[in-house]
Amino acid sequence: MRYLLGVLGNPSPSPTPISPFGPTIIHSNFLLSTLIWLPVVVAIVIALMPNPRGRFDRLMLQIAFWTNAFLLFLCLIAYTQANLFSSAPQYEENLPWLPAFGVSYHLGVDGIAIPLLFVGSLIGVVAVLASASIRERVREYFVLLLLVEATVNGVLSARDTFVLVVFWGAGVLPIAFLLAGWGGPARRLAGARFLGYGAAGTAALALAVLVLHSGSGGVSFDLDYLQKSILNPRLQVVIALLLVIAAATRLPLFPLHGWARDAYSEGAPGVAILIAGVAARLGGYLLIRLMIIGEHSGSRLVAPLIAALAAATVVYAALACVRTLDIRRFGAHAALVPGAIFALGIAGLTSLSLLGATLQLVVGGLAAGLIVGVTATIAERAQSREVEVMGGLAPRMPKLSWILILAGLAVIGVPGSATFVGEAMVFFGSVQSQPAAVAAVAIGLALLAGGLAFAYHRILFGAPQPDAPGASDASLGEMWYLGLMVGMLLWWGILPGGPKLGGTVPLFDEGIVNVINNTSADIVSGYSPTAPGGGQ
Amino acid sequence: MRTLALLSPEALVAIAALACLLASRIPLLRAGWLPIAAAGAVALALGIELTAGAQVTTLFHGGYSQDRFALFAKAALLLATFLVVLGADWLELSRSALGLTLLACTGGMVAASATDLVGVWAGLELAVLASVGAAGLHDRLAGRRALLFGAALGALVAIGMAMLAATSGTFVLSAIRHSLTPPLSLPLALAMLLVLGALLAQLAAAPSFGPLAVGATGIALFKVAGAAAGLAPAWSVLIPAAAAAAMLVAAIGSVGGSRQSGVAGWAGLLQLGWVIAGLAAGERLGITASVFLFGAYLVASAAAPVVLGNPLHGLSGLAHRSVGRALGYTACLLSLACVPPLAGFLGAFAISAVLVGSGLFWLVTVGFFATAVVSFAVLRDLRLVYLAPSSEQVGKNPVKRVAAGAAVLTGLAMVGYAVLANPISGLAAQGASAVGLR
Repeated sequence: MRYLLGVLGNPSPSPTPISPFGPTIIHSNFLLSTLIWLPVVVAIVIALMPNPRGRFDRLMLQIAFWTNAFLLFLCLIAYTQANLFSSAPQYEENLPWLPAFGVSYHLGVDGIAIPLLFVGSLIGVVAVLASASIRERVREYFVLLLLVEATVNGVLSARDTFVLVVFWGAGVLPIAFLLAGWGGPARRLAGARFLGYGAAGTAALALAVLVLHSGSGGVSFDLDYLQKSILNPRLQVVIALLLVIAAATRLPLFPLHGWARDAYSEGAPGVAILIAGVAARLGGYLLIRLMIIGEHSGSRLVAPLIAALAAATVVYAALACVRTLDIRRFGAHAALVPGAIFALGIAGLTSLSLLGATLQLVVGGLAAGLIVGVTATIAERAQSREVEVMGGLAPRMPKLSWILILAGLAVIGVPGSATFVGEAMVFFGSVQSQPAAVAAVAIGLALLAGGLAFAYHRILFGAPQPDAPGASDASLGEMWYLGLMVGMLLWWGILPGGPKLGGTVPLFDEGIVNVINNTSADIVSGYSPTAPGGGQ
Repeated sequence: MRTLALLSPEALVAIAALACLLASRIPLLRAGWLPIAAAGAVALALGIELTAGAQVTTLFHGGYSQDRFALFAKAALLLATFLVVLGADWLELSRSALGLTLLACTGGMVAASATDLVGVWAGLELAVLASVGAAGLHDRLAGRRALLFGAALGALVAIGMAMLAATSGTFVLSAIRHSLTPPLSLPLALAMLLVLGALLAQLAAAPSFGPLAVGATGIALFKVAGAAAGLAPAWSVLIPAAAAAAMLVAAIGSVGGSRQSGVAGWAGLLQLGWVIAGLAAGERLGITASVFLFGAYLVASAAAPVVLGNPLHGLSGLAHRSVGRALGYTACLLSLACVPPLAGFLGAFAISAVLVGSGLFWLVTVGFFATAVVSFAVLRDLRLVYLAPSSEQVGKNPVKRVAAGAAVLTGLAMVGYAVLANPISGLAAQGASAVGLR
């Protein structure tokens, strides 16, 4: 033990910056560019690979898998090597791109983006594993999947708003394609709807960035520059409203959620998980990065609107879950809840609620991806989506039944799941500033819990239907991708402060709560009671 | 020696054009290597232009100017010509068409280096007539229609230019720039309306005139607009209106237009609207972005139909027939439709930033709306390219390797234009300054 302590350094109380694993393994100035452009290069390679009569379909899946596994490894290195107790951007890259217009290829990540990148790359691996059953147009599928991952990493890494808009917009078409090309019978409608909402969201984001750029003197699109400029409150409200529209189309929030039901319920399992787990989280990231950090007055003025949207989304999702008779739609509606809880935290505008929201943004994707993934897998394994046809599935698919129960509990945010920590912080932090919305969300969650119990009773423990098609439990591959998400939710849920040697020395994980807590100075600084206008 | 180096791109392309026209009459020379050789000549001309063309000078007593705009325009034109020559199926079209295509490029280069209205008009007409001739060899009826339309527009441009020269007392562009000051007189307004209106109409009908006529017309438009830069305040209402009209027509046409022509033409019109919108701001940055975007428009609009190949085969299952062609077409289409992350979007977004700064928020909103609508039509076409099954009949007609390689090169060129936006936009800024647009 003494030897181990000597190797790891003297125990010191958190939040002293300690990087117990991984420092100096990779010292690259191009880490973020690698995360963005490696999937693009691999996508091009797959696109140009000869594939006579689908002979190399399996190889393409393997290439996509190992690419994602390598990206996950890189993100792990980034996570462990980063100075996670600093809110300053790290792994920065800055090259002039359109210098006359103040545009630079500026990348950098902080303690909010690094965990999101990590979760995103984990979901990327999960999405590829969940795509093993893809048989049609395999080449196109994996090319698009890799392109989506590249754009997600681009949005999370961008420190220039022009670059952010480019990656945000670039992600819309591949996702729409993935939805339109693979999945259930209504897939074309799902693709078209996503494109419509995605285009509207991109336009809103682009307008917000243009107003922000113009209002701050039209000199630069760089985030560091824009966040320092002080705009008049009226302009801030315009920007905040546009950002809320852009974010609401992605998270999604009621009433701009129209695409989500179709996308999550009609998309191929891998695509649905990728969208619910990562792509949709970008809406929340946008609100934190551009609105909460930069536009304090605008955020305060639109907070009641965001709270109302959050409450409406949870209540809508709960009612839809209770009503639906389609297990995939059940999962699709339940997947709306983590995004809405995040929005409630944003609307709370207190240090606690904002930290909870940030945490919920990171772990909520896992919960949403899990519920969407497990319901899609159950539908495939039960050969039906009709809840009425299902019944007594628990004895026939015990593993999937357990995961379905865990997924539901994670969405609600019960103790033991990573979402619990975030939700608790959101509720306690928002109850004073947005009491009505908190009450509505709480009622919605109670309703959802009832709906979950009722649905589980019917699906898992009800009487088996004699004419139901045969059902089988999850395969090893399916258990892998579902298990990865369950494992991560439980890991961060049981050890939100990270594992510690002797109760004090952090091991390989600093703890997601510590990381978020110590790197969020930028987020909460404008809303603490001592800040100008704070505490209102 | 320096003169020789400066003029060698034009000379190379003109000689290649004449050689191709002659070769089409000599059976012995009708070999498959002719298009490759022509593409090699164009590539060599592009290389010389990018190296020797960097010097700023005038030749022939001021009749020929090598400035940054000429460098930018000729480089874009040569790149587009290279991609067209390499990618088109000249056996299916005609060998004469190859020569005429190169001649059209020569015309565009003449217009780019011209210092007076006569030179601009001569270069423009050479490009348009050669391009229409090449198109007419493939489809006589369409060629005849384009010839009539082009002749009418050419006449209007000539009349307008003559009126402009008469009003200002000179044919020289730089002299016109200095002599034209507000207020706008009726004859001058009429002259400008004729010239700019005819050029815009010619650009709007770009698909009918063949790929390279677009380049020459755009170059002429920038030259004349530069000459009339002093009158910009007088056009402050008309130019935004023209931009908005182009964008809205593109949006309506893309969702309601015929499937035969594809969405590329409408997307091109949308991008043209953004180019005009850049001029509407009347600011240095807007015009820089406009010139930058025009370069991307020129290359993508010229290459898109060639990359697509024979339209009779349709878009369905193009990716199954030739991945290279599908990728090249996708890159062109996305850039034309101003969809991120290609050059079209970069240019349009940069123009939007300038427009918002100028208070033209409504034009940005119209542009975003039109872009969203055209994106929807683009997805519809790309769905056919990648997700629709290929018919057996088409499968028997494999795409040639050179054409597929050219399509991949086109895709790379479009990506490269976006990636290398830093030096290209810098050159565009200097080009805008050289032509007098700031």
